[in-house]
Amino acid sequence: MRARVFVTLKPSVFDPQGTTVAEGLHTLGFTAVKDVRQGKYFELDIDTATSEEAHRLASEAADKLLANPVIESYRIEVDPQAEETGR
Amino acid sequence: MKFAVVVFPGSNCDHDAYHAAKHVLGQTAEFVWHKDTSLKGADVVVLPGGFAHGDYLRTGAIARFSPIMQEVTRFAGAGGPVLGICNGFQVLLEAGLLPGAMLRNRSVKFQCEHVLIGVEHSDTPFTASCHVGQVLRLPIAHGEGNYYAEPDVVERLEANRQVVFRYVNQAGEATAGANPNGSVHNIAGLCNEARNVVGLMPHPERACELVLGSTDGLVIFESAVASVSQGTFAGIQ
Amino acid sequence: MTIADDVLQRHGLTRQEYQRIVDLLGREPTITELGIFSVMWSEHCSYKSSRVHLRTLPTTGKRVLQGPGENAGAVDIGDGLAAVFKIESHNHPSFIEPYQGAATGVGGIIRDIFTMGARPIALLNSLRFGSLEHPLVRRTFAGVVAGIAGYGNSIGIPTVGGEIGFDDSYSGNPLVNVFCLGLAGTDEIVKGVASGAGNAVYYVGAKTGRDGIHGATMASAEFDEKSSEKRPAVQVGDPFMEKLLLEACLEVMKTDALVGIQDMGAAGLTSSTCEMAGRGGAGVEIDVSLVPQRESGMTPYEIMLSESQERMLLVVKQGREAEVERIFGKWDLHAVHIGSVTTDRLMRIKDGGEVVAEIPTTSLTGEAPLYRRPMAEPAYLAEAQTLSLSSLGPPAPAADVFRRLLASPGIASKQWVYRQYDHMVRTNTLVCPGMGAGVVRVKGTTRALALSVDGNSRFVYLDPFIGAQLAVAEAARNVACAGGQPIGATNCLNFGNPERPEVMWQFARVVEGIGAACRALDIPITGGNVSLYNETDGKAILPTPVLGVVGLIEDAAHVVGRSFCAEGDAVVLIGTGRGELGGSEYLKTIHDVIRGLPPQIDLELEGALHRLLVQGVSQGLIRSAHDCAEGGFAVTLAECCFGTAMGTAVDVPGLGVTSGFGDVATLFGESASRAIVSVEATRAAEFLALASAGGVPAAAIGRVGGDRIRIAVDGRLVLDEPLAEVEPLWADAIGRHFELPRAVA
Repeated sequence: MRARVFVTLKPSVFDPQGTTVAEGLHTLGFTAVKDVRQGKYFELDIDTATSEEAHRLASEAADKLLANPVIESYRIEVDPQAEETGR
Repeated sequence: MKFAVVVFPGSNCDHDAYHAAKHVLGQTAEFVWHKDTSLKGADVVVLPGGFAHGDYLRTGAIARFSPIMQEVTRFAGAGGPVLGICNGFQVLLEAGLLPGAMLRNRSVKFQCEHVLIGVEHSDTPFTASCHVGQVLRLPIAHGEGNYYAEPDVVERLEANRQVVFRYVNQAGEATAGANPNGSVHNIAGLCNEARNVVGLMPHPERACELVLGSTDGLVIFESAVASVSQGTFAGIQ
Repeated sequence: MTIADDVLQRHGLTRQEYQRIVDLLGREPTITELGIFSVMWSEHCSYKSSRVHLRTLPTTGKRVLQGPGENAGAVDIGDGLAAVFKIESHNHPSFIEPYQGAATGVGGIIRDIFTMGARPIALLNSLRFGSLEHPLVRRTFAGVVAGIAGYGNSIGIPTVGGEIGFDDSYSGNPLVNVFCLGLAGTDEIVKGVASGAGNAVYYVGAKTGRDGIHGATMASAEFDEKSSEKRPAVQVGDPFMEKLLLEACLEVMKTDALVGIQDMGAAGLTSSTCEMAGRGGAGVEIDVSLVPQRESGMTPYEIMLSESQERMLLVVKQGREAEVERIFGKWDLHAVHIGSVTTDRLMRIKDGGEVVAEIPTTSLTGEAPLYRRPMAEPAYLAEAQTLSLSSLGPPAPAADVFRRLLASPGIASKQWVYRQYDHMVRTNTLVCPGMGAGVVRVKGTTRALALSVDGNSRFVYLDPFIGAQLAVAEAARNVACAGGQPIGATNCLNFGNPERPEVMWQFARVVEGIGAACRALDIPITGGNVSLYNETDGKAILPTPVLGVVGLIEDAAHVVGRSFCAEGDAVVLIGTGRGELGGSEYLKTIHDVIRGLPPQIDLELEGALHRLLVQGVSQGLIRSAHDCAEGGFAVTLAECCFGTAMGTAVDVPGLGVTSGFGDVATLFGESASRAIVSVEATRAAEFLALASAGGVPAAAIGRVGGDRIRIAVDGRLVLDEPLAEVEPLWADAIGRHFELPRAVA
């Protein structure tokens, strides 16, 4: 099972990196891009039978380590069809 | 009295804190490795600056799980004085020993320069020898010193007198121009509710000798020595 | 079986070199052996074009503990301690990927220092870029600075100084030269040597991947339009891993379990293995199947050529293996036994049971090709050396020139840059960046070390022999201004394609010039680096030798920077100006030409100047000292005022240069062997007497004070500028290309 964890800064938190990226895009001509928020993406290869279990484990991992609850929130997608990692 | 300087893999300013405590202040100081399970009878614990675990994931995020942090938490819970400097402050935040979190500097750049901080309260073990309103000139050196907490948390911190240091100008005013990194309310350092755990982003250990440009950092270490010897903040055995 | 031309070309080998390989082996090489020869015989590793010239440099002296030939040089600084230092380049990778190229350059030089058993305590860097008006140059500039900051800050070694220069010739070929200084006990220096049959060869550090393969050969070739395809050859650095390696290695070196140790830099496992074996007169056998790998399916060729960062090769005494493994284990590092030392003087590479390469070690090092490449004086030289000031038209008003020079990026404040470097970690920094030479104290002693990296490439372009002497003099002078007696130097020689006779001629003349200056000033060269092929589409960089000089300050209580200290202090101008504008910042910035002859250099006078400065500082007479360099006297004077909120008023003698350029020549001429110092007014006479006794011309020219910079020539006011107006021009010039700096306290 592969769980994808998307960690983003909470909306109330100022994101200087996202702002810098937006400004960079504007100078390249992407004026239609109004705002950019920068986050983190984790792929977890989980050895478990059900997507519910994978979801639960990934949630716990996010709560304990992957996200800082003071400034970040997260969402999880589970992909049962995903192959084992072999880059 | 004894200072324990915790060393995580990637800590850089451990030697600086040790040097300040031992060679400048003449106190006993000892390094404590992150895998140790004992603080070796320390009276004061210092979490130093640096890049523990390379700042991977988030600054301080992995260090908080080191075995020694259980001891530090126990020590803090029993009222022992704990000082978190820069990366050490970040570890205390991640470990939940202090509220809030750190973001990237507003400039999105690492900044190494001197700043002025004002002492807001002198009833902590690290400001006991300061007077309220005292302005200290200390160096900062960080890329992630932009302190953040949710508005209700910040309100509570202010009401509880937990903001111990604030970035100020020469006149002692917490202006936008005095704020180097965007920290909410110009917060440069704060303490827990029990007032024995203090974290600050500036580096007092870099300002203990005149040849280095400032001795304003000495008073923070001297306060710890005074507090322990007067028993105002009891450590644990 | 004959090898195809394109295979040879990809390996950077000529057909003659290939034939030599066949002769040395007595057969055709295997593909792994071909790869090994290609990197060991590359310019970057073998110095085949430069060795004959470098051999003429002075490398001995009473303080020299280690000269060229090891990973870094070392000089005795007293109290049983040695200063271990070197400068290295990482130019080509920094064009391909600025952040990682610069970061791994920092990582590489740091490893060269701690592999000698020295704890690194300071970094400096010398950088060159094209014009900041171009977006690509700005991107390269910002990336390089961020990379140096990212790596140096994370590993906790302060960057205490450096220099940055700009010229269009560097647009496609930025230069990133990084200098590192470390401290070791004089009896604790560890060499990169493999000896003792049966001793274990260990690998420790990051896992090996495919990054950087043929990085050494890339550094030995020019760029062209296909250069962006070379991206995979750039390594990615991990400063946290290097921090762990540094601490663990220093801990292991405190035991005596090691015979030798070397970092895996250019040409990775290949160079470290054969160089250690070569130095020990031994052989080494390793099994690449035991090398920790982070990518699957790597061939022995790839493993041997990989330039993955943060890896070390150790030779451990028999019986001490468990101890070494345990110490690395404490730092969560896995030290792996991959081979052993032999007596057959062969480098034998096995893949499991199969031998895939077997080469006499001397053929890779001592018997590498040695070229005496043809040299010819460049066609541009005679013409460029002529300078007719009158043909430049009437000179612009002095105030205009002054403001424009202060705002030119080569002269302007570099605070936007060094603010990103942690320059205070380790609490040793006595003089921070922006104040002249960087100065770090040596804890446990009364001493300090002054450090500077310098090299004016315009002077070298106009006369390589003189220009190189001026570079040595400038670096030594900067160090002396801080109160440091120069005791050793390292050089980084950045040039174009050595297969072009004009470039080789420049190189040879530069090495002669460095030798002449180092002999006259008694400063031994303890090691260095050569970077050739800095060209794009056939256009070379200005010839750029960079000198890193280390100065010893006996009493750290007496250290000075360049800024004026107090109102009323006397300003003293040391040295004699001749109004020399050849190759000056003035000519480039105002008239956009590099012409004329570089300033004359009198090495005896220069040496006397250094002695005067060191004496004056150690006696507490000199309160501030700044050498006159780019922009000349007026710019130097302004720099003494900036950051102090104090101006100055001085009166200097005119230099009698005709054709209406008199004032310009006096103010902005770049004559050598000069410095501006400030002295307490009551002690000015004492200082002037000291200068006179030393045979050094010196004159009190004015006072520190007020809020303006006022310069009179023979009593006639020629420059009268308010500090509050000119300082921001200097302070914001670089930042305004990115954003304005926000000074806080």
